[in-house]
Amino acid sequence: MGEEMHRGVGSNVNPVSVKKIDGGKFLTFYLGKEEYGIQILKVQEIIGIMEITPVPRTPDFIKGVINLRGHIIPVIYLRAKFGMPEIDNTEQTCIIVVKTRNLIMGLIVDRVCEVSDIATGDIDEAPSFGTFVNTEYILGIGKCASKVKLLLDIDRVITAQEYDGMSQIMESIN
Amino acid sequence: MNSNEISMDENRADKACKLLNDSISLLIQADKAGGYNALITDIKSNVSEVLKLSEARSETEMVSVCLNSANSILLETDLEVVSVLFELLETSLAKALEHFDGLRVNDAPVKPAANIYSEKDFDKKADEFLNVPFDNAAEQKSAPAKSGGSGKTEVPPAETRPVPTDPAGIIKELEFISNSLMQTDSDDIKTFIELKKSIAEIAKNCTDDIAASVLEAACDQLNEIITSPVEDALQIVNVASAMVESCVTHLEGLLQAAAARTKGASQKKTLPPAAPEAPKAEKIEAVTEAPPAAAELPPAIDVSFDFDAASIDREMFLTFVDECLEHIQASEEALLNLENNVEDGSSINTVFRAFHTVKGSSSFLGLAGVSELAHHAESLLVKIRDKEIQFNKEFADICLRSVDVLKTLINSLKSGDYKKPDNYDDLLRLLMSPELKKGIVPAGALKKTVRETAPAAPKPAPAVKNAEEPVQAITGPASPPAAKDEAPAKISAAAKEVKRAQTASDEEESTVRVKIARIDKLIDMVGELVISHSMVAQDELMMNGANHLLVKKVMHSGKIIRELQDLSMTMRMIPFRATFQKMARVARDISGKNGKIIDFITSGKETEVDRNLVDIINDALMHMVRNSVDHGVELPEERVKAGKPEKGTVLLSAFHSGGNVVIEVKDDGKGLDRAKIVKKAVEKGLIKSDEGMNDSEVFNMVFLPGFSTADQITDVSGRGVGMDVVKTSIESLRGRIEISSQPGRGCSFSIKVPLTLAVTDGMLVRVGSQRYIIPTASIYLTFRPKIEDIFTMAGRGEVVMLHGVMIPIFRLHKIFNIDKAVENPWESLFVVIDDGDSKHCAVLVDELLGQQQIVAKPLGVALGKIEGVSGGAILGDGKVGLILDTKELVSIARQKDPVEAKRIA
Repeated sequence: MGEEMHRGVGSNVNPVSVKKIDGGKFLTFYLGKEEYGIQILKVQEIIGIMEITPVPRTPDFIKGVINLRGHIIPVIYLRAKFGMPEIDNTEQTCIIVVKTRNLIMGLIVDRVCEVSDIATGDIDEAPSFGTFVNTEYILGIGKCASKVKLLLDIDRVITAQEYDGMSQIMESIN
Repeated sequence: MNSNEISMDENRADKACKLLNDSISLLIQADKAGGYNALITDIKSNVSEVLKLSEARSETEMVSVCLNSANSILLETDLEVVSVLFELLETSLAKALEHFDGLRVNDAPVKPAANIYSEKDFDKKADEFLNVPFDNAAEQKSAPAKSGGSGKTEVPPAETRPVPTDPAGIIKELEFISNSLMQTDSDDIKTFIELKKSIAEIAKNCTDDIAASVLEAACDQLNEIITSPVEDALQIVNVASAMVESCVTHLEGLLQAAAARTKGASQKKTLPPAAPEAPKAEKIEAVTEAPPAAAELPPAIDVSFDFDAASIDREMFLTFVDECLEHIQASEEALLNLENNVEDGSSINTVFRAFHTVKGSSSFLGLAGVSELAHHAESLLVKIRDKEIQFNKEFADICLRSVDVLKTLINSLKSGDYKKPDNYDDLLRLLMSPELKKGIVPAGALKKTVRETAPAAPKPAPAVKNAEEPVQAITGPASPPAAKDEAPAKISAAAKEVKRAQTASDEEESTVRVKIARIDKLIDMVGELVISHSMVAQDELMMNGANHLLVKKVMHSGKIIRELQDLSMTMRMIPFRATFQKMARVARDISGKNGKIIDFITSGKETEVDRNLVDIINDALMHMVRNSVDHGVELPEERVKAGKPEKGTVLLSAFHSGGNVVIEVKDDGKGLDRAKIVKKAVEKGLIKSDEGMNDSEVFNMVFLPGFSTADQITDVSGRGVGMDVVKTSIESLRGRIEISSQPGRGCSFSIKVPLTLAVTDGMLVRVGSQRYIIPTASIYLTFRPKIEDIFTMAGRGEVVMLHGVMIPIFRLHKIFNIDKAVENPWESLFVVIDDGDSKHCAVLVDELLGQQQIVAKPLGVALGKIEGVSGGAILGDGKVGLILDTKELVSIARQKDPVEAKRIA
């Protein structure tokens, strides 16, 4: 009942861009104290942190490229992407390799947590904070055992990054 | 039958004999016991076992035929029939046993010469063996078989039906066969054998070569079912039936055309329409001559372009497309050849074969549009081959146009939008025009439309004048019967010859089609292997010298891996042959259009290059050849005036030169006009004057965007988008292009590209903590400057003096913002590179780490294009190194450095 109410409120606030996300299995991980989730089908693998070759003239959140068994893939520093401060790597730092459409990309996260089942009914829309907090990468908020998990729109993380990268290059040219 | 093959058979023959003996004893048992069902299963398994043993061998084909029929007998469940069939089966098995025994006897090494069966004998025996039991059986069991009621149509053997020789009879017979085929159970081998025999008989007696060839093909199809149990028997039967149907339609068309010719317009058609049950008939009979609006107009052509790709096996379809394209290419080459050497019999045969195959397989797939065109082109080619008409430029044009349209059609099939090309009707009308049949080229042949010329044709509508009567004809109007009389024999003989020649060449160079993606993957994997091997080889354990034996082993594996790498690289290499042929065509077409006479000479067409490069090189070459023909070589009058031979020469050559492929286009035309280029450049504001510019600098300006010296814009060239595109595309391959020209003597372009893009030689350099790879090809030299050679300009731009030349300096660590790099040039190194405008620049790096072969890889789509970096490579330690794009690097540096930027502007 409560959920219905929430959803009702959400759709009133933002009736145009209703992000729909189905429940299912999500791989969750931590960035600082926040727990995020990615649809498990988008995750290709999880690898330990390794030496990353920086690529010049790319945005800060692009850490560089790594050799994933012969394939070169770019790695995003998710903290930087979300405007969080950079921290040193720990032994728990790892790279989640995600694959969406034809893009393969690594995401550096503080710590991988678990695979949790979140039912569609337990997913709320991301509340709007106005322009103060950018929630465009958040598909929804999963509630699971009194904790919230921010469900990432990984396609948007990647494509938005692509766009950013391009505009950055354009800027530097001008 | 040579002794090798026989000895291979020895064990199998033994086994087969045993199985057959078993079967016969089981059979006798079954006959006595009456309750045969269980026993039958055993026999069946035995027989199929024998079949397996024998089916791989061509000599035993006949045996397997009879065994197959035995098998089909076993499938019969009707009690009455069975007793008759048992007898038959017994005979069959006994015969088979005898044969295998014969094989065994042959095997005796003592008397290899005493072959009981020579091949001919065997055929005879097998024939007897086949005919005798089945004829008997057919008579004996005609009654029970009919009562069997399993939906089978009993076909009287060919012998009992006299083979008709008149067309109408043939058509009737064929219709009957086609119906029988459709109604026969797919496992009823015996009926198929009968039908096949009838078809073969008709094919032999048929005077029309097209029908005969289609019938032969139908026989082949049936053979497939007969000789081995095929899973998709039903499909094959359908195909065969459709083939027979198409023959019927075709023959009817012929007949009607003949009737119309002889008896005039009022002649009513006497033949029944095509059998209604024909499954593919609509597609095959797609050519319907619409009633002519005016009696004098040539027949309108309505070719069905319906094609449902989904209805055809995808694999088969793709093979068809590939094969067709190959044939088309071959025929194009041969046609160009033929033009230079009219007497070249092998070339015309190649063309003929190509069209013939395309026609066959396309009609088989129900592609009326393709087969129709191929057919008409083929009829023209037959005349040329049989020297009925003299091959000349006009015919070459028509043939080449047919080739082009076919190519368009096939390509459109491939891309999935199969439709009628614009010029299809015109071409078809041209091919069908009566003048062409008589060997006269219609005046309008070279024009896009022949419509104006057509009404002048004496009797252009040969088929029917009765407007109410649509005529179904696969060929449209047939060629005059007079020509047909002697032709078929000649044709079939020639066709056989061609077939033989083809098989011979197939044997010479057998190839396997492999998907490019797989080869690419293989090459990638080999690249990985090389890297991971070098990681092992450079391991500390290996380097400390303690494990001498291990080092030796690793070195050995290294050798093998290197060889493997070399081999994998060659797998993707293809010769320039096709490219050169395309160019020859371009040169021919353009020179024809412009009234220039050109000798197009190629050399080194077997030179190989990575297939990934070919497409780009193709486009570049196309521009250059066009340029040479269009702008380079003068018109014949001008040439004579200039004291040169009337015929211009364009030479296209390719050769390997130190890890690179060099392709040259040379002409003996007027050469580049320096004054004109300078004038144009001044007009465009590119330069103020040519003062101090040497020839090569001036000529290189033609590579600037929008630069064209042609006075007139033609559809060939002159829009000024040519040479800069050429240059960019060649440079994208890490290649370079050079011009040299002598006024009045001609001009030559040379393209130099690496053999392959897969492996690059790179120089590994270090800047701060970062390592980068600079392609060795773009490095001019490296040196450590003296402190006194470094100067600054206006306090910012730095230059270094090298051999008395001032070279601008770019610091890599500044361009890429790298920390902890060596700041003092005299403590580090300069790498001198080309800045893209044939000027040198020096790039400051900390250290050279060495040269190595690298496999360039993209950095991932997600990153997009990173300026200054062309890709990445996995280094010996498994980490990624970035490959620098020197040209972009310089342009970044210039944007960053206002002084330098101003200097260039």
